[in-house]
Amino acid sequence: MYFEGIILDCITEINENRSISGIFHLLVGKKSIQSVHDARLFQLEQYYGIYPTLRRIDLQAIVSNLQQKKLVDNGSKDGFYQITEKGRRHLIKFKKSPLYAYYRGLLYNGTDVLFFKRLHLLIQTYSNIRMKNTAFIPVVDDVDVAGWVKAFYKKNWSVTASLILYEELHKLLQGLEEKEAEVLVNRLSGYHHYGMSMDQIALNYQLPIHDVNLLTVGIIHQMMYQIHRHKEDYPVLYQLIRENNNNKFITKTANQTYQLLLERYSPETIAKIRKLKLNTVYDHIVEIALYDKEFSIEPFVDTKTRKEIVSVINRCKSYKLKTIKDNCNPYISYFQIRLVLTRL
Amino acid sequence: MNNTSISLEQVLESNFGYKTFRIGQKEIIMDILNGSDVLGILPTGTGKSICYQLPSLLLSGITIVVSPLISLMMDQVKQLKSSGFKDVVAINSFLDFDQKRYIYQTLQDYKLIFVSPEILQQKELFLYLKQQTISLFVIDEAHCISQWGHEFRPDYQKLNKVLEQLGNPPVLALSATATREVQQDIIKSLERPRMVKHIYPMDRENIMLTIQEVEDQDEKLEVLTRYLSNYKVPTLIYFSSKVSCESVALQLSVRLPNQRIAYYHGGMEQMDRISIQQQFMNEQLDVICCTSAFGMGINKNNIRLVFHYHFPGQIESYIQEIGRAGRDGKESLSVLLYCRRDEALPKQLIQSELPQDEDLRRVFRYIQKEADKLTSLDISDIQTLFEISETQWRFILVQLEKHSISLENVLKYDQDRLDRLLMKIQQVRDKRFKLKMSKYHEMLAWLKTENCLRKELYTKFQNDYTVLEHQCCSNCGIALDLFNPEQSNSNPRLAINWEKRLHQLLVGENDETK
Ligand SMILES: [Zn+2]
Repeated sequence: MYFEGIILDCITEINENRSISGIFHLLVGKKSIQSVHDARLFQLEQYYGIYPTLRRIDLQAIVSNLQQKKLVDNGSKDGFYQITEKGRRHLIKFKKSPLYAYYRGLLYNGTDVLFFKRLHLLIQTYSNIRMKNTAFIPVVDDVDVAGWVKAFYKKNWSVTASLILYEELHKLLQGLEEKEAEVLVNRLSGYHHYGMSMDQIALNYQLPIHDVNLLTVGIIHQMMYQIHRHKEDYPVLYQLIRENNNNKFITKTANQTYQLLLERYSPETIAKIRKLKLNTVYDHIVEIALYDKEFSIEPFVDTKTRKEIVSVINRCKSYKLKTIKDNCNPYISYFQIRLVLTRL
Repeated sequence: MNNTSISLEQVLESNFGYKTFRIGQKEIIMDILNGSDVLGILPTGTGKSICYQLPSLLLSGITIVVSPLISLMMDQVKQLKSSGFKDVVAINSFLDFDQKRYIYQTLQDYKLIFVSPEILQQKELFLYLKQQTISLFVIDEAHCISQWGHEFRPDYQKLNKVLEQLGNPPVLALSATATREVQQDIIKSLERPRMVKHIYPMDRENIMLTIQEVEDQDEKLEVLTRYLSNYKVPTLIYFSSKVSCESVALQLSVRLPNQRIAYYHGGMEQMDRISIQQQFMNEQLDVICCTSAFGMGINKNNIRLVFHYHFPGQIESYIQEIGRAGRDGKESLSVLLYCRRDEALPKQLIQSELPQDEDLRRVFRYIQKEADKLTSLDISDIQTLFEISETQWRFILVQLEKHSISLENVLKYDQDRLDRLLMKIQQVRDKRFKLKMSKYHEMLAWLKTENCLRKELYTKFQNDYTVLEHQCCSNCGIALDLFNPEQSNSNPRLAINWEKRLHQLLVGENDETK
């Protein structure tokens, strides 16, 4: 139900500009320029990376099912789809659930998993230590998270620590739907109690496993968002999201290029210094432009060129690189087009 | 002598909480402390790990434990740490660069170091290890050394070189399932002819072995339902496929509302796997439908029933899996549901675990063509791209690594060399396939024997087995009405109101313990 809604939403926005592969990459959060780009371009940032464990065949199966139910239609080419009138009506119905408004995929990608793991391990730890039990099997098997929780615990120890955590969580979860809060809490482990697995949740609430996955991510995003917005109300929980690695998007190699750009080297020189192909350096620059909205693309695309590219995009109603290139002045390069696309 | 034995028991009690040693433990530990090389064959569930954990506390230097499974390693480290054993660490390929370097530079702070056989092949760790005093080198699951073992691991065969370079520290090789051939192989491969052998009988007198022939899958479900309506006891049901594991679990849940049933397989996310495993340990679950991925490192001693919905592909796996029953020594029952139609399954399974010629060629072509564009991210994509199973892909990766080819530098190899490599990998695969098939035929022959099942099962591994007068096996005849295990009386516990649960977890009295 949730999954179908999200796919319908994606197909509506993307239309026939991308194949189902594009949707797949968007949902699993492929760390490629293209995918992040698409998320921005089609205004589907909220769904970027919300289902990292999704398998291609499962997506295909659901889309075929939507097609059978006449909610989507085959596009002009294989693997491309359009939404039908019936699909649109369904989507409106789907979107009545508050869940769709929870997602902030591009914003929380990666950090949501960290928050989720920290939260689970922290609650398990507090719950056990409160009962003076230090020998328990942690549900989260991650050295970094364990180290973080240990440090957190040391820093925040007090007799009332678990009570404060309880109060913050209680307040936060009251802002969710009853079922959402229940799904989250029933997965938690604590003293002499291990929480439900996703399959057990699915069985208990009669939900498809995809929906359990997506419901969990949505809940986590909403929690993170509320904590961010009302930091002062959640001093303990805020620490779970504050100490996250920012900037985890830009790859190390792109960052090195970035540093050289700051020293005012040209792409050609950077390619020589770093012994890279010029095209690789261009990729880095596009990546930087994509993640860093402050980064100026002016040195690579002057205003006149940018205007021309934008007008071609509007005229052709397409974001396909090839189409844009073919309709532009031949002196305009792919690199320049890609840069302009990052600023739309 | 007397003195040592008193203190050994004290060490045992104060560190591990046991009052007495179990069979074989003390003898092995004494020999280790005397500096001998030891081969210990101890049945599953008899506490093999105490045999090195305890000496590691007493020896002055470091104890290294080679373990084939990362999850197994992590479980042990976790358990040790949670019981207050702090100077322990696991080094495996999952650690990132900084973590590894930190551990390497502080090696001397550890008493017990778990390593995967692969990581021992890395020069860096080696350099650090060489600077340490190594008092004991333990090889867990030592049957992996032997080609005849059911879990042959090529890296295990390089352990003799490792030992040599580490200055030949004393060795303890441990296994639960090693035939006489495999035992010989271990001694030979390690080049330690004077190893002291401690072989303990692996037959478990408290487990009744039964094979029940059924017509089809429906009848299996009937049989399971019948048993599980009579017995509410900790139960494992083994499957050879994830799909049937899931679907039978769901069907049984519907038929048996009184039992708390869940499934477990390797395709689940890690947190879910830990949850299910621990729910079972914690008596929140009665029945687990699982694949062979379940049970490694599981230490639940009151499992009473072990079913095999499909028969395993080899006798060693069967012994290991039924061995999870009745570790407390109380009477337990194993039921293998044999259906003639299942006979093709193991063969398909074996085939699906190994890459076909076409898969290999496609992967090779792709790697060669795309080598300059490949990043480590894309490498996992190759698997999805060609729809190769995880086990097949792992086989290919291991083989590539074995020939010290990393995907990053594959470009440096010419066509000729790649062709030869491809051929070599095919040969390894064919050999593996043949071996697995012969294991499968051995299993099949056992299923069809009319002799005592225990005798036929155990005499492959040891000279002797205990003859049981009563409750031996389905061929000797057993009386099920005499099997009366203690039943659990818990109620199925569904999800509860979130506020109540949250309160329970963090504030209120915990009623689960009452
Ligand atoms: Zn018998």
